Amino acid sequence: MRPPSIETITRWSAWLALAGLGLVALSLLIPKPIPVVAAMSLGQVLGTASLGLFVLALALDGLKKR
Amino acid sequence: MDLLRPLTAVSLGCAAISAVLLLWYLLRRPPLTAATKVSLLLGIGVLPVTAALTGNVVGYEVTKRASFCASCHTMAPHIRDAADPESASLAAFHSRNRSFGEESCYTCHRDYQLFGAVTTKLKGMRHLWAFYTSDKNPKDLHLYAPFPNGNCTWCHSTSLPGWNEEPEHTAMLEEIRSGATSCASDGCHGPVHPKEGASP
Repeated sequence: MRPPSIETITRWSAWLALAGLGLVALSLLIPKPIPVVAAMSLGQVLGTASLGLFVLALALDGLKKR
Repeated sequence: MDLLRPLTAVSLGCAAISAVLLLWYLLRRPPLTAATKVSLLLGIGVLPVTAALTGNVVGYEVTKRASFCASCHTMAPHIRDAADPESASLAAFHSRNRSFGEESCYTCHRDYQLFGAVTTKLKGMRHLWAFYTSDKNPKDLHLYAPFPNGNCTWCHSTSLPGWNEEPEHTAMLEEIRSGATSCASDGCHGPVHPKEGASP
């Protein structure tokens, strides 16, 4: 099985960031228990995973150019 | 001025700009040039981190407000009473105090200890779990543990001269300090909330 390309990892990172941002925005627009708890838990996980994937993509891109 | 409004605007603004950058990348699929990487660094790194940080502050502050507690309809009798200018209950009396303001529920029910903010939020999660997994119309609301006198004496210190002018206070000083007698008990200052659907 081929490892995912740098572009694929970056796109996944972007989708995860969008999902996390959606949860944050929802909690701000509808400050009720479920949206707020979701943003402060799942939203953080999605955002951290997104940033991690982006850093991974940058690192792989740097290694590829060496 | 309510600090939450500008923070909310900052968070939503960062989220919106970030979303535009991310959608541009996902729909146009440009090559990963230096310019694309910089825009993605903004869209995935800088702006979402700013949105999350400010969003967390807003989220945390929102959970301290009485309007947030009122989100669960089981709290409706308490909230109605607290907002009633004619009510003589202890909760309403305290809610009319400007020092409590919109955070009157939180001020009385939070944990006053090290990491109290964290333990208070964990208990709040337990309330949320109970609300969604058990009877949503309980006839008798009750606390999980007796109301700690420390939450009252945090403001009404037992060493203040005014507090000690009450003969009942001085006669029961040790019992009050140890928690053997609750400030919120019937005959003392209870019931704090209306009896209907509640206990202190």
